[in-house]
Amino acid sequence: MEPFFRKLLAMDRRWIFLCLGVAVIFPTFFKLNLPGLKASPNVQAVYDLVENMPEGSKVLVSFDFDPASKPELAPQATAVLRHLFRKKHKVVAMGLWVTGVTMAKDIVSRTAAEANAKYGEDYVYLGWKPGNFAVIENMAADIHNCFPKDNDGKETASLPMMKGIRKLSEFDLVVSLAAGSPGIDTWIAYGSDKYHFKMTGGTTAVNVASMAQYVQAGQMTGLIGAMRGAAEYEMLINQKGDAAAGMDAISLGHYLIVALVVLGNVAYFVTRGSKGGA
Amino acid sequence: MVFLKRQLPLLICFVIGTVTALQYYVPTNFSAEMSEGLSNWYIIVSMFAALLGFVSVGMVHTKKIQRQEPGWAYSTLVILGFLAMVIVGFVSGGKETTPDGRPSSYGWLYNCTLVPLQATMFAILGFYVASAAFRSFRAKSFDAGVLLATAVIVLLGNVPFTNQVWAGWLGIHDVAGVKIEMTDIVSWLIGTPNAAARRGVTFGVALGAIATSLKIIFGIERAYLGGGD
Amino acid sequence: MLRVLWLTALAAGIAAAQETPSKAALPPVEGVAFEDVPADNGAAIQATWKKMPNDAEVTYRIMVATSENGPWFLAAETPGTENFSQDDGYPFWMGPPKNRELHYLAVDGYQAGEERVTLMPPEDPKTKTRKPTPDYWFKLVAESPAGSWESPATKLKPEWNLFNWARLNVFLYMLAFAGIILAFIQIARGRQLFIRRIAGLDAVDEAVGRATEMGKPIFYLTGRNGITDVSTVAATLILGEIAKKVATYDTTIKVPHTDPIVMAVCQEITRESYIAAGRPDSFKPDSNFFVTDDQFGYTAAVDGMMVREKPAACFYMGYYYAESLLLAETGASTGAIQVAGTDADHQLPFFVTACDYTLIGEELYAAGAYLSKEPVLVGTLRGQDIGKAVILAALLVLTAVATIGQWVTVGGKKPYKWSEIWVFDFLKGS
Repeated sequence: MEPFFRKLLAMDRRWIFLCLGVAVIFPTFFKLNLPGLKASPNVQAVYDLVENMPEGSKVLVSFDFDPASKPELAPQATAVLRHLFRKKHKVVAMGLWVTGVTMAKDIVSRTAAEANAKYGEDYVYLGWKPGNFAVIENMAADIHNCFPKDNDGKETASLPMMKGIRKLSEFDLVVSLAAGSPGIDTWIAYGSDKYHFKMTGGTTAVNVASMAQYVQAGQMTGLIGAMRGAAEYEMLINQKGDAAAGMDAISLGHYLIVALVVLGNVAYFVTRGSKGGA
Repeated sequence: MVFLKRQLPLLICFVIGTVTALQYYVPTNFSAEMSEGLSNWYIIVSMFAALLGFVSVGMVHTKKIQRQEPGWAYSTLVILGFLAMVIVGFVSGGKETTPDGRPSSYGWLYNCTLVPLQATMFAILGFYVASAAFRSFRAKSFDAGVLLATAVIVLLGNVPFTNQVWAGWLGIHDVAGVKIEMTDIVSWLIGTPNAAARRGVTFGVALGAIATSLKIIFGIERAYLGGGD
Repeated sequence: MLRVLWLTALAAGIAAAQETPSKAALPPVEGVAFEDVPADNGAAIQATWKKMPNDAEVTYRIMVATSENGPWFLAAETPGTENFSQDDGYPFWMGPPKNRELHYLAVDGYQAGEERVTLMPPEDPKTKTRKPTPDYWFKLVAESPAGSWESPATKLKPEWNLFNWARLNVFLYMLAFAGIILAFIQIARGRQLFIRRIAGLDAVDEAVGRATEMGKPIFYLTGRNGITDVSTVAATLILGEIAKKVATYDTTIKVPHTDPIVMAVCQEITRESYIAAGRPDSFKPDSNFFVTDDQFGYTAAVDGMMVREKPAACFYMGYYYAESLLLAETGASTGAIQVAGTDADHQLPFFVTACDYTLIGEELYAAGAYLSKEPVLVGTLRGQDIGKAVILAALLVLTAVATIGQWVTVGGKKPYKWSEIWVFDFLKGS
């Protein structure tokens, strides 16, 4: 056994890449539909927040991610927007990441079209503005000044929905879907902590543990975590999407990594005492 | 010259730093307007800085091409890619779609090059994590063993199917009369020991950040202006 | 809550000028007071009045007028069962006593027909000026099926305040901490302070030496954040120290950047380091160069350079996101000696796994002091430690008090419940 494990430890890492590739691609073509998905308390909290707001509440959705995180965050954005439009809330969308502008516009217009939401009356897309945290500070002072025109170049002040929204504090909810910074932490530090509005959001798997502390501290309500969180949200709104479809691949990927960790340790212990061991 | 290079920046730093810190405690309209003005200045200055980056990229890569340094072909690709995106962006008027709703050439470039390229780079992370987990994650000591066991529990608990096996098939529901699911254990690990450790790091980081800011505002730390004293 | 009430009022289509209800059967409401909001920009006033026995049936309205005789407009309204002083949003040291015996409403405008008028005149978008705030008259009207009552009119003008007393606690922390830091800087000027060993920084000499021997470059990354981030500032300071050693040994250093401002700062720092090391002619301005501000574009470019140039050492200082493992794994695969330092707690596990040495959290900020041994910088470190000790002590004492308070009962109450400890309330400003 020992020579086998020694070989295993010395194997080219590209074999591992291949295994993971197969584990992820296989369920894409052959659906496994693994059971067991259940809404976690954090995702349920976001859902309840949107669900229980009075119809017509003003909600700002900030797309703080770029195409790199699209597989994780676009399903979250789609599910949340579908829910917001279904509840007939007024949605203002924007982004703090320049490379996400086009992607965000696509998601907003697609979900709005599904719900027959009218541009300017039910939703507005402001686009991106440089400045990172400074954009949040400027929006807290005057959104019309900060974004004089929307993403398509229309006067923001001329859009019927925007007439009643001038400051960040006038929103009933701000949702930041963030892959990093500027993102949820920026919105909390420069926005909700200073100007007191309700915050929620979603983030990628790698950031969930960091952002969870804001939920614990009461600085935000609920948190959608990664593709799994998106799948849970899709389940809550009864409309399956990309996240539900990707969960099998995620599950197999996780199991493979656990198997690799266990295998690596077995090999380590078997070869430890011998000469040339790892 | 010394005044322009050292004293003036330090003075600006002191005045702006102090004023911005105090602005948080002054609720007047003037204070809010000043904060907005400073934010606007930050946006403007950061845009000028983009020009610096543009010049740097241009200079580094044209020099490489001129001298035909190793890898100069990549530099050609950088310049060509840059020009292609800028020209197509101008031609499409910066719009992703044409008036009849079809993707513009800029939109096509965005969706068919930038999106898959970025997604690919991010996806590589998964492969590296798998490789690093296999090669480096060893229970070499008791501490490392605890870390390893925790990681395995969190990994397994993050898969919904494990919960199905745990609760539905193995029927593990009650531990000492309390209904515990796999996700509860993961939530506890993330919310309690993990959050505690992170808060410890966060306290240190926050204090360090305040101390560094104070040093910069009071001109004690001036190496960022170039050199030591 | 107030906004909801506003919307309710709007939806009900409350007309511009409200007729003052006829005075009748209701007993007078006690303790009616109108005051300026104590820590604002002069936009609002607040009204308080005592809870009445028949509150369940009463609707209270705050009416406002610009002259004593009206016309009166509706500014805010609340059912008698809501809006008490305990929810006024002020910390305990401000505003009326916090309880459910006193009603509280803040008012910053009123509805005049279709138009919402703010108490503070709006800014003229052209001249960017405002008209002076006029005097207002306020009164409280209580209405129930049994009858109504109204208070006498009170003249009041919202005034702006110079200091937001609600943030007093944060202000005091700031002063205290700044005091401690500055005091220790003074102390450090007089005597040598101990600084513990940081293995990752001791490895700098080893890394530079290795690069010199191998004739390979050193890669130094300053993180993904801009110069406004303290970790980036720390990374630039460490660069200065490493660049001095690099200049001394005449090794090559490459600093790819993702932020143009950081690049400009680092160019200056590197130049000064070469001058300080006595080798200004060896300085190459393009050792610092901008790549792109795109996260994965930057990662791909740097990874590519690492694979092609096989650096002898890689330093990852500053703040990182998902690219941390992509960079560090690629660096490790080239056989480079790797030192990371970050305050991005969620990226620490990746660096610890893939690098030889990792500076954790504030060790990154300590690095400048450690490498330069500058007494002033070492003094700040001691100040930080004292600050941390204070926080730690507060955490321990208050956690003990809160824990004991779960079991201790005085007069049938648990006086030390979390929410009732004023120290906690002061710390969080609630």
